[in-house]
Parts: sequence; structure tokens; C-alpha cells
Amino acid sequence: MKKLFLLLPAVLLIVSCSAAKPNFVFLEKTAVDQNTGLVWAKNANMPGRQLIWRGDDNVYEYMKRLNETNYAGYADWRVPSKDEMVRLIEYAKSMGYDQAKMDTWPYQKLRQMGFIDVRDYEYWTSTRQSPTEIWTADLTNGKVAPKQESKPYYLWPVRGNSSR
Amino acid sequence: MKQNRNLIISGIVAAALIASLGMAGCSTTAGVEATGKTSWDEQGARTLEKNVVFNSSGLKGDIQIVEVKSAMAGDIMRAQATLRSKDKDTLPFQYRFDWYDAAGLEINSGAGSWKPLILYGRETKTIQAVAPDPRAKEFKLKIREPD
Repeated sequence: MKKLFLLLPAVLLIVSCSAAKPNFVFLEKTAVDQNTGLVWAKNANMPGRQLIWRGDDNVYEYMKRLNETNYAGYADWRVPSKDEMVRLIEYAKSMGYDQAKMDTWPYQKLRQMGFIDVRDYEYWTSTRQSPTEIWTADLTNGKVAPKQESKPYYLWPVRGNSSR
Repeated sequence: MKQNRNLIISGIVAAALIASLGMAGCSTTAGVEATGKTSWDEQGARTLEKNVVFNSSGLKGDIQIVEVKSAMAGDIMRAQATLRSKDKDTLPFQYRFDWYDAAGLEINSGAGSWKPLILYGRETKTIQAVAPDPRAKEFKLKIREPD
């Protein structure tokens, strides 16, 4: 019985660690992470091109249109935060990342999971680093770094609150 | 001979100085005009007010800028603004679109005509204009009291 009590914290730790990892259920247009509550667009390249941050036909305009059209029945789509992108990449890497093997790179792993058109390039996050820089997530190597907002990157809409 | 050469050099220096002062004057003007350029905030939302200039604080308080957008039709810029009256009474005013090149310099300065428009109580109207030539890359909507 004593041993059981000693093991309990370890078991709880394992359970809580595994709970932090995404657990996706794929639907027609979305992928629901049952552990975090986040809903990702199943298509990781919905605009079909890279978008700029400031300018005509930019990320903001695209997100506005997406919400106006109630994509997948929701009107609260947004750009994922840096932390949300980091968690997604960490999850993709946890499935066996090897820098030497391209089929283990995050964008490939995410495709294998069921996401559509995940690009081997950088994605916008909503986290600002400076007045001219925003964090982006590179789905080839999983690196997250601040980049100049004048450059175009891909957009992967998400909705919901990851603090659950 | 040497005196002549010095005179020529000082003349060139003076000319360069005058030219640079003139250019500084131009860029100051462009800087002022730049406040009317299309711009976007940190979220990427277009900052509408920067495209619209009111000549009266009364009109500014009565008219809400719902949307301002521009698009290219070939190499010609088109601009559109949606205005909404916050007043319950009839609101007559005049408007004009001014156009600027990539350097922020006005194209055909002052050539555009003022057009009358009336917004009835709480009414929303959309106005459009087409740039006079392909140099136009920015625009500014000016709104003033009627004559």
C-alpha cells in the first residue's frame, strides 16, 4: 500500500505530461486537440499562398474573411500564438525527429498525422517580438524565430483557447 | 587663375547646398503627405483614419469611416470608402479623392473636383474613385463642409 502511495506522484506526473501533448481528432475541416481544446484548420495552407502582415490582402484581411464566412461553423479563427506553434512542433518532433531524415521533419509528420498541405516553410504566429518583427515557426526544422514582418509567410488558422 | 578656380568650386558647393536644401524641403512635404498614406496597425488591420482627412471637427464627429479599401484594376488604382452618418439628421458635405505616387507626392495636385454627398440619418453610403493615372499608389479621401 505504501509503495502505491510512493508511485502515485510519478503516475500523476506521467499522466499530466501526456495530457499536455496534443491529441487530435480529425473532422472534415478541422483537427480538434482534445487535450488543449484548440481547433486547428485541417488544411494548413488555406490561403493557398504566403501572406504578408501589413498591406493589401494580408493575414488580417484573410482571417477577417474566414470569420465572416463562418469557416467550419466558427467565427473566431485567429493566428496561433508562438507557444501554440511551439507545442505543435514539439509534438510533431516527439514522433521521431531526425535532422538527417526529411520524412521525420515536422511538416512531414504533421502531414502523416492527417493535416493537409502543411508547407515546408515558415508560418506566422501572432506573437510580436518588436515593432517590426513577429515570431514565425519553420515547419521544416521546427525552429521558431522572430522575422521581419515585411516578408510573406504561410498562415495556419486556429481557434479556441489553449489554456484549458 | 587660381582665384577663378576657387570661385568655380565655391559656386559648385553653393549650388549643391541649394539643391540639397530644396530636396530636404520636398521630402518634408512628402513626410507630411505620408500621414495620409494607407497603413496597417500591428495586428495588420488597416488604419482607416489615416486615409481620411476632415476639414471640420464637426464632420469628423458625425461621420464614421466604416471601411476604406483599394484595389488595382490592371495598373490603375481604385479606391473605395464606406461612410456612415452617426447623426440622426441629414448630413450634407463634399468629398474628393487625392492621389499620391510611390514617393508620397501628390498627382495632379488640386485638379480633382469636390463632389457633394448627403447622408441621411444613420445612413451608410459607399463612394468610389479611380486614380487619374498608373503612378497613383496611395490615396487620401478629403471631406469638407458644403459651400
